Amino acid sequence: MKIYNKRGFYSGLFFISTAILSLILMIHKGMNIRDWLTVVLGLSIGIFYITRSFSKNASMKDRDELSEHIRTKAQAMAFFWTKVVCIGLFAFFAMLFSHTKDEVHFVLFMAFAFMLLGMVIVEGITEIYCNHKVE
Amino acid sequence: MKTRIKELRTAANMTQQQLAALVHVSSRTIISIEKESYSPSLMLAYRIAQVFGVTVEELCCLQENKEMEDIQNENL
Repeated sequence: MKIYNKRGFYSGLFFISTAILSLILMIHKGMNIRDWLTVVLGLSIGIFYITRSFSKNASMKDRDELSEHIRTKAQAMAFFWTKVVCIGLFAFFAMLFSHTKDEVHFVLFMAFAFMLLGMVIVEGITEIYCNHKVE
Repeated sequence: MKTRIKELRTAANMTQQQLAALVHVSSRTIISIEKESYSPSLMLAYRIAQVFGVTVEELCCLQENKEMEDIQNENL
């Protein structure tokens, strides 16, 4: 059996491994519906990705340049809008805290501040890496 | 980007699925290129040009697209 899409295959393996790990932890801790759902979902997604990776037609669709282009664009847009929402919430909780002096508002303000800082750092590092790759 | 893909494909009595299979992409990509909502990569354009026996310049109407872009840049 030939693997036509290695990324899909390894993604599938990752999901199956996570599901198996969850199952082991569940057996150890005790079972509940939420954990069962995680296991079933993980196994389903993993098997789906792995079977697609063995199919030439499906792999061609997954690795197709238009699909890759859309995936990259969607991820970039998602990151951008997440950053915009973070900035909005950061500003909102900063204003709220300045008025109320509430501890909860301060914690949320700091949480969004750290999240924003993390996003800016990740974006900067990614940009440096991409520039370096092009040179 | 405007291309002659649809014109050349219909002249060759080829379906979008057949062309897609020949150049190793999905039919969705060929459809998007023909609708001018996606510009093919250089390699893909070259593969398609080879299928129809034309140059990339002829396939992608590069001269025409360049003139349109120059007009857009002048209007900015």
